Amino acid sequence: MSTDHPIQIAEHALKIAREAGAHFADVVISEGRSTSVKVRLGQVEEVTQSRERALGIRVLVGSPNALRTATTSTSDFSREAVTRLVETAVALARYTAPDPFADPPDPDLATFSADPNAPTDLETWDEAVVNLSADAAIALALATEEAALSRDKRLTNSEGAELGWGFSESHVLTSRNTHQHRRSTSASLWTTPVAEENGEKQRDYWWSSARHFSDLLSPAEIGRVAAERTLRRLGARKPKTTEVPVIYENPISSRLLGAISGAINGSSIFRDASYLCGKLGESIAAESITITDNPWIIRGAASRLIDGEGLPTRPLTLVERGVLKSWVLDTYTGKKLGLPSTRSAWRGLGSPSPGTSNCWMDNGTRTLESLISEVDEGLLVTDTFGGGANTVTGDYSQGAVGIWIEKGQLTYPVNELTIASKLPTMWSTIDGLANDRHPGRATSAPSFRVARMTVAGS
Amino acid sequence: MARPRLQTSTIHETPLSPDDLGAGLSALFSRRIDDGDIFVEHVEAESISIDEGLVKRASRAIHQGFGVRAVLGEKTGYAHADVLTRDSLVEAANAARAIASSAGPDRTFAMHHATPDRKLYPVTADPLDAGLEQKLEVLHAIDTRARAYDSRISQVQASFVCERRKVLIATADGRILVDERPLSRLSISCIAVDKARGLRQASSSGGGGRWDFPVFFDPTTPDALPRWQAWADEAARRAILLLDAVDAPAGAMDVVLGPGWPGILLHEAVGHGLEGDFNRKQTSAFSGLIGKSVASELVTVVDDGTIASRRGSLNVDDEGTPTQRNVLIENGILKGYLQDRTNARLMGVDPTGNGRRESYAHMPMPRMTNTFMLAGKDDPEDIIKSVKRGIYAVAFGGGQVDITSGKFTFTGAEAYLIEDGKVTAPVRGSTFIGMGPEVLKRVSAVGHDLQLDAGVGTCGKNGQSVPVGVGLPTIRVNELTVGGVAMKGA
Repeated sequence: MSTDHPIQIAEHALKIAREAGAHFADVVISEGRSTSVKVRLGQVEEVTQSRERALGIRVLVGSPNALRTATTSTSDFSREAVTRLVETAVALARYTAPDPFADPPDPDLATFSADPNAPTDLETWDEAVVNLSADAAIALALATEEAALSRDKRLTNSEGAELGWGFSESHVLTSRNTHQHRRSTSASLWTTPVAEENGEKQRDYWWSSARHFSDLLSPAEIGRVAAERTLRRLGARKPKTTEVPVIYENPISSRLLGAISGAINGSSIFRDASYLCGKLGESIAAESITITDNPWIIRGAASRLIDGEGLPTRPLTLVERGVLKSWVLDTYTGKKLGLPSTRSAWRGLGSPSPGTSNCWMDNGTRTLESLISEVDEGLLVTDTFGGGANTVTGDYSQGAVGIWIEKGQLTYPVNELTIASKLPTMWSTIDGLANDRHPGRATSAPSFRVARMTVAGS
Repeated sequence: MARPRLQTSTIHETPLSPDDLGAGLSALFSRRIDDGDIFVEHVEAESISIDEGLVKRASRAIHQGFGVRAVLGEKTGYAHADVLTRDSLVEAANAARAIASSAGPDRTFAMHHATPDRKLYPVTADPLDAGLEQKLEVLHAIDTRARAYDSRISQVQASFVCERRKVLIATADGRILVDERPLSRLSISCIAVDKARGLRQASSSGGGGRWDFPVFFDPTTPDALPRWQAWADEAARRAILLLDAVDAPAGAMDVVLGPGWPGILLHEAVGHGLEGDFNRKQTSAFSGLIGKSVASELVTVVDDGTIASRRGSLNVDDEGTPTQRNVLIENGILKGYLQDRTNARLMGVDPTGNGRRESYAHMPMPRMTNTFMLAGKDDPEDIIKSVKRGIYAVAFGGGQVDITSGKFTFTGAEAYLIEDGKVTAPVRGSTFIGMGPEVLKRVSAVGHDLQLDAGVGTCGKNGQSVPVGVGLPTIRVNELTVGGVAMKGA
């Protein structure tokens, strides 16, 4: 076994890549430690400890505007293994095609100093998370499950409660002698109670996740919401097939937002694989809809000052008053579309690809209750599952669970139904926006109402 | 040019000797526990893909690690690491055993090799060892063929992914079992664009298994096209077909499912609900239904991990139990659950060879292998003719199930209207939804044309992905809810 420091190993890898004739190379080293404890019905069920590290290298071989790309990765950090890994990457690259768009990120952008408005510390690290003990974690998980199950005697069973916590760290070193380091902690706590009544079984869950331990919701709060969400599913009926207004409750509304962020991703756009191709600058949603991607949110779930290609990040307006303002791009997809990177690259062990950070839809001014009160007959969607949005065609059809609305009031729960429409129609006919967006999540939308959708049941 | 090659080490040559494994187990069993094991894994993988007619990406990876597990009652302790040394193993064993507090009897482990003599996937031409030139050639040929299908095919993406996964399991009774698992897959997707009408469609196809590289160039039947050609044609054909699709209808209607991949119905509707963990915890909609009728008499469903060369097959599962053919539903009666060691022990039954895990970094749990319905007697054409107004679905995307309520969905990829017994227009935007313990009771016909899928399935559960297979003959399901956008009569 080698005892080299990971940075030395990365520098060794870059040296070998240069010697093997790579035009550009970068190395990603990711390391992490995490623990999770799971309890069920008042007993500890699982304790898992993980230590993981991996090294990925990307080489660009050839000359500018005609570079060939290959990537390799390993969990073996010995010098011998890493030497072989780099040589393999360079050899693999000789088989790939020269790609006129595969240039490394613009060095001017990469060395450009960070925006003066950028926060200096995103507070992604919390020693309290690192130092959390398994005993303390077990006590919190037990309290969370108990908080749920003690709320009602119909909560007879449980899928348990789990608290997971840990940290991850990554280094990206390039053959241009740049070195980016990022580290973050995270903790998450969930519980899934099971309710039973008259032979019918239902479950739902609630959770909290945060970079800082003190930002986690309390066990009492998570348990209370999980219990309420589960109990309100009991007595579910299958609705008749009809067309009605549909309200997506937060956080389920965020899943539709996730579909938009996929449909404006540069990887889909340059391949002509999105229903939003060609719509830049056009109205794609109701005027009430504004969506931003903000990587600078303090303690945000997906916050970062530097993107996966080493470019300083900045906030990005994606949709403003219903008009599509920007794609989500890394260097490659930007070049394909003749645009600069939006500094949205994410990087695992392989090649970078674009993606949103904290993608948030602006709150409206209404309450969820007032959106419900205006509906004569309709559906409040509290969960969706399966399929969903086809972002190539714009078709939308998905399994759903919810509560039927009659004369402005929530009545009985419904399930075994689907909701269907077309994405362009849905987004442009959103006629009510609540003010309840959750601040702790990477992709987050408030509750909203779609004027009319097909509900399929019996 | 020399073939790029990462040096391989077989798992027998890892720095972990039988002595080291014995030392790890001794550390583990120094506390009083019911069961424990060590799982060591070494994976070599390669991926190469074509996009816009260029092979832009190629990657190769080599990862290894081990996981140590201690089980006491319903409690499990698990620790894993990627440094394969005796010290690291003992440290992980000490972490895993922390769930137990009382000392165990001193035990030493004389480890012995006990791999069963079973070779479900002997390969003589491992795709991982095939030259990159051959892989590049087939990817280019797929690109050319799919584009030639129709001028409206605007994008073709294809990838060839293969791996060789070597696993070693050291069990509490001193056995060492090893299994070397090849797995490869060809995936093809096409985008079709009709500029004049402003329409865009996507479709994908592909297949694979635990087999030799030349299999991709063989036909499935003597008079068929080579596999890669058939899959390229399928992806292109379906994308073009869907340009003329009408909106799927909404409401409950009779649905005919074609043979093969539509077996995902079984995977979602019954397979997950029959996994031992959910049934031990009584959180499945199928809990307590053994011996009860859960399907029509025409229905027999099996999960079989022993079919040669299949994507879902294993010589032994990830706990060292040989896989087997498990009858889940026989002539409509629920017969049994899928078990790993822990859930089998707690439920007082035998393990069924379904203890699987994504990697050394994950705990095993009960999972499916290849899940399918046995063939019936009906003629597939007669089944379609028997439907007055409904849907004929031959290809699907993914699906999902809520284990507790039993509600499942799956998404149609290629489906047609049936009008007066005839297959008519293709439909777009179809989702199907039903209730697991109810839906198979409405199976009113089962064809004689059982097919297994082409080998593309991946199943996700609690964040773990494993390769699986499904299969189905043509069947008719009465009154299944179809979630399209088009209202009746609209």
